[in-house]
Amino acid sequence: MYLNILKKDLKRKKTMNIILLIFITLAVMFVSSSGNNFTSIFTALDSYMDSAGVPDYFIGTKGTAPNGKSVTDIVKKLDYVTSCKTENCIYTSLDAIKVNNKKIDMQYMGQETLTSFKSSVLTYFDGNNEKITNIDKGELYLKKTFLTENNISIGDKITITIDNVSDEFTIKGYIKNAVFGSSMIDNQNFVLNQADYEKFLKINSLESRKGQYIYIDTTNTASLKQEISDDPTIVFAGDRNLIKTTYIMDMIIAGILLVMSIFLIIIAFVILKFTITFTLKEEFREIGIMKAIGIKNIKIRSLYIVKYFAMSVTGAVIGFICGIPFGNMLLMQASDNIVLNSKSGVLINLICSIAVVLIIMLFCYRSTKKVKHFTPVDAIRNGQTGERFRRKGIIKLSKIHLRPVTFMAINDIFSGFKQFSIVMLSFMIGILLITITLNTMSTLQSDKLISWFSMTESDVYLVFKNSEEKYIVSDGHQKLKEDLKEMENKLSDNGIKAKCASEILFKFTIEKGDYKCKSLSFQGTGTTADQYTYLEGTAPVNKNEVAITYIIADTIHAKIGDTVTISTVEGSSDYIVTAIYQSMNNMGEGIRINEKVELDYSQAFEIFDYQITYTDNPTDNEKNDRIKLIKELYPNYSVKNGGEYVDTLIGGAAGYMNDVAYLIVLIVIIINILVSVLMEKSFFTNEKSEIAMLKAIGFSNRAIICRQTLRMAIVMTAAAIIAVLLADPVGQLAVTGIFRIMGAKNIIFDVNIIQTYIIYPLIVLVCTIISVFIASQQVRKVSSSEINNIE
Amino acid sequence: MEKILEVTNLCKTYIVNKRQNNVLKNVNFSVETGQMIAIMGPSGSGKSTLLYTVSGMDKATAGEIYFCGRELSKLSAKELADVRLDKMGFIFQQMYMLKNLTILDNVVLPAIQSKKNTATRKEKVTNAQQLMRKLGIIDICGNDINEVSGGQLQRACICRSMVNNPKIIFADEPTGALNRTSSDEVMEELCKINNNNGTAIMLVTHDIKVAARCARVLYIVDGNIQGEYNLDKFTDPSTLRDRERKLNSWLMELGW
Repeated sequence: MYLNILKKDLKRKKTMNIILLIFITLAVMFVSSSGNNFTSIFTALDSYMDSAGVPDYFIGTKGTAPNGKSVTDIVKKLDYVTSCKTENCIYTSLDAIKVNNKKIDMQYMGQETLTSFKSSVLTYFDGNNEKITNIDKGELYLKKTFLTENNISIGDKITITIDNVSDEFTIKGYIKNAVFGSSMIDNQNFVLNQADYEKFLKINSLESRKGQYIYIDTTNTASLKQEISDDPTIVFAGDRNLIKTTYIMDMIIAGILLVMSIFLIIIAFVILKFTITFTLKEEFREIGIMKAIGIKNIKIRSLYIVKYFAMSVTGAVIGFICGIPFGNMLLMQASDNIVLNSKSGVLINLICSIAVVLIIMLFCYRSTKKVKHFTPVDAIRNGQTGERFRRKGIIKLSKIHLRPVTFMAINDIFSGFKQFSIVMLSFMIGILLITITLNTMSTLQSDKLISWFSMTESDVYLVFKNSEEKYIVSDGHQKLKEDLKEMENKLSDNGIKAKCASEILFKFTIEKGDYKCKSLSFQGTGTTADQYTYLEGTAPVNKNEVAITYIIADTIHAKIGDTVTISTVEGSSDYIVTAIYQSMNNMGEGIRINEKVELDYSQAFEIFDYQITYTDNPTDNEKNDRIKLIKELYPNYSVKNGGEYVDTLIGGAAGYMNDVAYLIVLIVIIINILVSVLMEKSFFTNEKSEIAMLKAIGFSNRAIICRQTLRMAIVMTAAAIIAVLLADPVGQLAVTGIFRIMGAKNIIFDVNIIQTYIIYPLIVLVCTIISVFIASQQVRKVSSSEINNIE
Repeated sequence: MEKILEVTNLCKTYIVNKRQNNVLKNVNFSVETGQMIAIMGPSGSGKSTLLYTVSGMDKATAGEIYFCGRELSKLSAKELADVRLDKMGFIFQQMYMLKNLTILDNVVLPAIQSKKNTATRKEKVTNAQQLMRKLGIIDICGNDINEVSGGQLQRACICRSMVNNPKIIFADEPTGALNRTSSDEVMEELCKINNNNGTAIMLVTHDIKVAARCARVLYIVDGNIQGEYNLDKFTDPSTLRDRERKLNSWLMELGW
């Protein structure tokens, strides 16, 4: 008999049952795919580092130390070093590389090296996350950014020429190198076959180009850092944590996808809970009748539990199947540079699907407790026992000057706030997700971010295509000043009034008492120290003053007013710390040295690109014209505006981040449309008799559709407004942790107000309202004559 | 007397499970201004279908229905809605009202929605309150619909059907869900409306006591009008028993 009742129920309440089934399917799909993403992303970096064999500490050296002692020799003697493996490399430059016989046009930012696959310490992975086991003669693997930034395809020919040795290779694929793989690191490592690599060992200038990658496992990283901090051959050194933090851009994307997964899970469960409670409430008549004929509560409950179990299992199977490709699609967005461990993916999907079924059963068990409250009278009196004195509406048509349609829409919301709050919540979370993502993206692409990279904001940046090593000589400072002056004159002759500047980077040891560390140190030429942004204190305007980043301040336990010692090749000097600032260079390292201090530029590490700042406030059109002119004047440089330059600094992640932002906007729109349409369908099923009655008393289809759409539009507009108001505080809370890892602790979002708070919410709002409007066209199918046939 | 409703060769067919079910077969009748007409017949004979079809709530399969000189089948959905709003009133067996509105708001709703009703909102509300006062339910005007009895609710439905001063009220078993006392009260109110306002009333009923208050009774069997019984206009309650007796014997002749 129960089977028959169940069959009839499934048939008769087809619409509501289908809606519930769709929600269960969506919930399973979202929860299973999100659960899989959760575990994949949380464990991704560690598992990637482990499978690639990244050690506790990594050092990259170049050249030979003046005292002849190599870093390897020092490290191997340390008793707390448990393992030290080395890999030789040859430093080259982009000048040496041609692709398909053409010089490449890639701006210079890092170091390029050749290594042999045979002697590689790390395990490398290819684009399909498979271990690379062999590289044939004449083939090489390189980093993906090299392919994408130069529009090069796998299979293209690449020619490497160093001094007297030249060889052509076929690009076999791109490599996932755990140490250099992140988009934040510009180093390009070309991995060759051993025989090919050995050819380059015959170059004339081998000694100055030789280097080593040293992979160290140690029980005391802090002591190791101190021990090697003075070695001049070290070009890059960092522990496993530092290497992990270089993947911050990938993790930001992954983090945003995680937030979205949480959003999907919340939506799924909230809606499920609502739908189960809602559908069960509609069963009062059947429950009343069953009670009237003497069926026990437990039997009635079991009937509904069986029904929901059947539906949840069906939904779980469909959701489980759909969840796998959906999850993979999301995961793909975060897996370009990282090998994501998804081996247990299907298992996690399965566990999550079973969990959803169990949670649905729990909801159902709790909701069916209400069965004992329904009485046979509910069946007889259609749910209105006359004992329910709960007032529903709080506004009155007779007392308020609103058109009936508007009044009914508002009144519906207030009367059934609980059910509309579901739509509100899902819509609000969706808009919040979009605004936080867009704010993070626009902040990371904003030219204001320049100040977080220890530079002043400028209008134009002339990016070096090759390292400007001409300044890395003893009188480099003077030469730089002269070149900048010459640039200003040349620009002035062409009608552009501007100041030119550049930053020189050193790697100095800074110490206070027992604490010392090596840090990037900056000195501006063409700028003054007071032009930079500081978190606290005042700019180091005197020669014996410095500003340090809060990461360095924490490392050496220094604060404003303290005296610190900075060691250069000329000796050590004491400086007073006058300010603390934030920087995203090398995960927060930085010392700002006053521009008046004369430093020996031969010890410089690198020079930043030329900066041009207009002094005559040109209009936007003039700025565009000037960029064209500057490109003509300086054809050997890549000319960029602030936004483009920031993109270079963050590893060209802008386009990628935009893709993710658009994907999130698209997913949010689809989810909101789905939720709103399904909610509208549920409301419609429940309100059929009301709609028929309204038609009978003379309300047109248009008026009723307007009411159905308007109330959803009101709820969604309110949700959008709340979301926009919450976007900044919630966004700060959500992303501060991510920025802090990069070295910035004081985040002020760079908000594109029109785009983030108006255009995108409007797009989502309009799309959702249109879909609700289309869904509510079903009102036309209801005939007023059906009034007595509808329960 | 002016004919407000004229039905010619009305047919209505439902197709259920590929089987054609002719519910109304060439029905012809008319209703004049101020007339009170009852439709009786056994269950499933097509009474409610006839009511919903002639009121434009359902579409006729064939035939013509003229309401106030306009053929309903030629009106658009919007025009039909306007006709129902301004010129027709409806009362159903179940007292359908919007759950989230008070009784007064439910009553005044069609008046405020109507564009032809040119009174101010305040006047519309006052008019609704007066109607409720007349029907003795002014005390419950601020109540929610689940706080009142069935009889009170049906009287509120009558007020709602009257609020735009319609030409005709269609009532589908208006006393079907009420007890005898409430039923008598509701019918008294309908008769008053018919007598005082000149509003025509067409009602479907199984109850001889209800039909006896009407001036005309149509008896329908299997979608055909089997007969028509004419009585005088009901004005004197003391004649009710006699009218019931006469009607009963006529119905018995028809196999009731």
